[in-house]
Amino acid sequence: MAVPLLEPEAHAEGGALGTIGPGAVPAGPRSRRRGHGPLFWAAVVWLLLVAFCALFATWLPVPDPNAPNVIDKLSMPTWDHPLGTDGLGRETLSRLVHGARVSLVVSLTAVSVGMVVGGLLGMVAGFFRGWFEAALMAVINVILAFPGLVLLLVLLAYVGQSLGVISLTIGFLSIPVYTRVARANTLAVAQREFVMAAHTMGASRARLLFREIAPNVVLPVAAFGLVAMGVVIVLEGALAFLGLSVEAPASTWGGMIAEGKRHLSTAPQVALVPSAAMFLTVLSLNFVGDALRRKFDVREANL
Amino acid sequence: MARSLTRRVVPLAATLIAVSFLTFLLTSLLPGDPAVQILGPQGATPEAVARVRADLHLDDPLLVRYARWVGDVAQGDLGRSYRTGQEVRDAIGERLPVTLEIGGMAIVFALLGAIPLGMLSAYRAGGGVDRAVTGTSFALLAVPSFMMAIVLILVFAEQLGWAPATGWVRLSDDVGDNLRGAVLPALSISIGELAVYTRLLRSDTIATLQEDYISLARAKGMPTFWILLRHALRPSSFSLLTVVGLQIGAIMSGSVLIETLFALPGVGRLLVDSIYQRDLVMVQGIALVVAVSYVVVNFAVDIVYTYLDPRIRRGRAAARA
Amino acid sequence: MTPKPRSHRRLIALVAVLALAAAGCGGGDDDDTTAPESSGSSTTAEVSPQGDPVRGGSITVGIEAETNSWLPGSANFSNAGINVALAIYDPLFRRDADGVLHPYLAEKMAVSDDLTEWTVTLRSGVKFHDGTPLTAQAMKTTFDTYINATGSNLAGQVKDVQSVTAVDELTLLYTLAAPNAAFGDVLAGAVGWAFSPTAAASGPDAGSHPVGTGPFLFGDWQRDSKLVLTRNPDYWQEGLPYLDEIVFRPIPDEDTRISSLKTGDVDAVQSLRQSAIRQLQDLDGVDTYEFLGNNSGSAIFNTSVAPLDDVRVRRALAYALDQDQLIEVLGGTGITPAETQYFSEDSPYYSEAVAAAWPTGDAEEAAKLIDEYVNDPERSDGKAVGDPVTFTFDCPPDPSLIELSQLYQAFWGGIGVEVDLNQVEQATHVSEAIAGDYQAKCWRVGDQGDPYRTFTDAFTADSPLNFTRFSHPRIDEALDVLRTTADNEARKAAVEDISMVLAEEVPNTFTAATLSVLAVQENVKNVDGWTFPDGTKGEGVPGATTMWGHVWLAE
Repeated sequence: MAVPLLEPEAHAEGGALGTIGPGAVPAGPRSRRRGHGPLFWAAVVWLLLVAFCALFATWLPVPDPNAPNVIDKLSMPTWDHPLGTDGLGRETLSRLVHGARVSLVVSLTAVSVGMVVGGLLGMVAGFFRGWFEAALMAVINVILAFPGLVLLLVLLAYVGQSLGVISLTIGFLSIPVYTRVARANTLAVAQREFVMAAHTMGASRARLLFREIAPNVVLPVAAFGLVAMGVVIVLEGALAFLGLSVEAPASTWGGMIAEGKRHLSTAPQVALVPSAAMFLTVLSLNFVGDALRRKFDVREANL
Repeated sequence: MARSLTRRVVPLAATLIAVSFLTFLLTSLLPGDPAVQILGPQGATPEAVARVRADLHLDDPLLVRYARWVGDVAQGDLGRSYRTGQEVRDAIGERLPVTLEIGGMAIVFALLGAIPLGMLSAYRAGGGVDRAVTGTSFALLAVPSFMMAIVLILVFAEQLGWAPATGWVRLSDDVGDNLRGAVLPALSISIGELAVYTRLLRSDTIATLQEDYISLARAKGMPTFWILLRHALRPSSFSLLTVVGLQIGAIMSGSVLIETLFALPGVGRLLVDSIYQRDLVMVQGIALVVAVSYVVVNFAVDIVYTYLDPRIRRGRAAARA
Repeated sequence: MTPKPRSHRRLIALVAVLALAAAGCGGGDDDDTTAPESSGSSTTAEVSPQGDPVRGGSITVGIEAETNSWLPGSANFSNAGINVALAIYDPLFRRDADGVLHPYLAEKMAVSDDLTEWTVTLRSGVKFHDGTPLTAQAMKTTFDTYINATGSNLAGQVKDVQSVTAVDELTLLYTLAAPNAAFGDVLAGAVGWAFSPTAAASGPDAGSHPVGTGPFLFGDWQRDSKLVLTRNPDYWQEGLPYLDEIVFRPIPDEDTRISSLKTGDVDAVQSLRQSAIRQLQDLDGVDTYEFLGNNSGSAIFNTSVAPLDDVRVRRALAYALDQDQLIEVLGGTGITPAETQYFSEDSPYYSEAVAAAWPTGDAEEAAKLIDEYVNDPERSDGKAVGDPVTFTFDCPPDPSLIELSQLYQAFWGGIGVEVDLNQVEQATHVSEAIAGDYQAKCWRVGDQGDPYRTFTDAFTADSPLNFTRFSHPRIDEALDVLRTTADNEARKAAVEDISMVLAEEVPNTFTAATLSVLAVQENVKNVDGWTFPDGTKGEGVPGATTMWGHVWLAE
């Protein structure tokens, strides 16, 4: 992700996305075709649970996530507080449930913005090439070479640390990665026989782009979206450590970890519970994303 | 060669100008007066603020200030920090080796782990080892590096005492102490990279292992690890090298959180502190250095593809550039 | 964890001494100089036995932050920076164990009856690290060139100084434009640190090569990493310093700093975070030296904008806070008392009457006041009767402040006030406060300085540091007393007046007096035991700073 200043995971993402070039052959010679294992389904269930929490947080029977209760602060998990309480005595479970909403919104928005805008630009550039490609890649290079943190700080200073601004900024900064991937795939697909054939048969350029090429580019990019969502969730955590995530008292997983850090020696559960939630979610996204990607790759091979 | 160089250099220069101008523009837009930061709240009387702003030419139009800065840079002068009075060039020169060493060490650690793991899981693709490696690398990808850093400090510094939590020692002062101080931060960063590298190498190796000459080598009865190491690794490390190359650019800008947690004097911390304290000249200088390194590394990666790799698949190289 | 006993010193008066000094200051050992005192307190309870002084050795000290420069005038010294500066520079004056200003590098001080002429006599035979002698002329030069210069961040402190004259080799005369009983306090700070004029004039890098008269020589400085100071072999105090070397390491992350003490990477750390202090107190083999200062966390209100221009709203907001809960969240229960005025219980200016008058912890009263405002047809925010009071509360993105601000928000929400929390980074925060472009902000108020300075900055109409935009005729009157009177009882009464106005008008709230700590490995000795050259005991470790020349390392 093009916020290289923030986190090494962020750099890693650029690399991970690189794998879905046309050369990637994830299905090995020995891999047997079979159904998804229990791990996959466990991951799916966890993700559904997180999504459910995020959608229905307000209606779930959990206490107010922002109501402090200093007497009960830093409580270990008990019957009353199933996951314990934080430094202000707020219910960790209910903050986790409400925090899921932030994680989900940030990651979905950022990934969609990056994917749609970046994907479209990359496809067009890879297909038409010429000056548009040159100009676009120049802009992309500027974004990549620019310290993203500066942009983020300026935006946050002017527009405020709202969920929307943070999501859109991360989305914007991730556009270059998707553009590169989409362009790479377009370049490769455009040289494939079926596209050449359609071209010879007199198909219009628009038809070529949207009917022949797009499906072959969108699927692998989209499949990777789940993994990218995981990266954004981790990035929110890093931003929270810098005090740049969604404003308090809104609960975010990253914010919970950052606030819990100073209690680590006395009440480690305060930071560990949200860390575990974040870990499980990102892990599940990776598992499910990878499984879906393998599926799409197979279909691609059948074309 | 000369023409292709020009063709490449012009857009690179344009990138640098665009990046530096954008940085200039955005940092000027930040609320918070640099003069107030320099004087501190106690000293920020209106007269003092006016004087400092005049000294720093902060009241000149943006374009004039930018032009002046570009002129100075062209003469090799990055200016002096508003805050510390230190030459920006010297300040960056002090930090860059730290950031590069931590980043470089992280890449080495990641490669040391990823090469055996990636090749092994490709060789046994679909098997138990493969699934274990895949699962582990997904798990590692899900651990944020700041959590990893906190855990490493607790376990290896506090409990086991194997490495110090803080206390950077310059390489020129003591090599051993320097390396001991670099291990934990490098490890924190390398965990995520290890996972990415492993995945990359695995998929490329799977493709390589289907090539004819590998089957030939197998038929000749060569030992497995010899085939993997001697014949499969090099052709399979194409994507890996691309990514490592690209990351060198990113690594230059450092990781704020890791540097803060381990109290390292690196570029990332300098950048963030400078933004927070409105040390605009310093921000400008760092943005330039980071952009230059990004551009140069990418340029080098391109050249390496085009001229050195005999097995280059052109479409792929172009696609990744 | 039971709270450690802390010696409570309420001190009285020293004006007699001041009068004596003013009269001509001829008398022998009677070189006590004075300005009315203001002190926190130190505790040395439960530390390991100190033993006899040992020469030699090196220690590493983990401090909170790096300092931008070491040249007074351009350097912004926080507690971290002062710690280092006190090893390089000697202060002209410092406070003794009773909180009275006492000469350190200076030999003595005399003040004219009208409090406008302050004569400082320097010690003879003192040399800067670069070999040049300490003279009145040197002090005058540095004062004129670096301290009282436009662009100097100390210029505001010395704006009353009309001129500085080198009367003779060692006698320095500060002439003030108007009487100021608190001027001695200014000379106890960075204004009174002696630094070499030749070194300061060496060019733009002078701030990275400070030359003082202090016990340690400035050595290798790697910014944000470490600063090595080595023993000054020609130090003017016989037998000092004990240590051969001190290394200061800025470690910004509080938890990592404590980890580094646990692992032995550093021998001493400073901390101002209450929850960290408790953790440090519990460590085996670690001695903690604490100091309870006047400084307190606070919410400051901009009294020039609605709805905070109405005293009913401000009083309601103060009543709504349960300070004990705020302190509990900070981890300070049992170690830091709730603050009700600009002075902690250990300060001589502390007033019981003000403490009783301070509005706090009464949600009913708070709700009543807010209702009164909300139902007032003339309410200042122009909203309809019955609409809730709303305002924005800005805090910098520090984890414990964020946590605390959420508790404020909950308390205020409890009386029907809708508060928007807004995170602003430090630079913006400060600029907005100075410009008065805010409604309410997290801030820290109060210091160890003379109340005249503190209150003049904070609550006079034309002060640029009057962030709350609050002034009051009674405060102006009391400040006039503070400025022109050295009589201690009169000054205390004036301070009580000011504190009472603040308790009635509430331009800001308080949380708790801040306890700061220097935590050291057991073998680091004499951390708070430093003395003046004449043997008088010093004030210990204010703000987790000490005089490092007196510290030794047990074998």
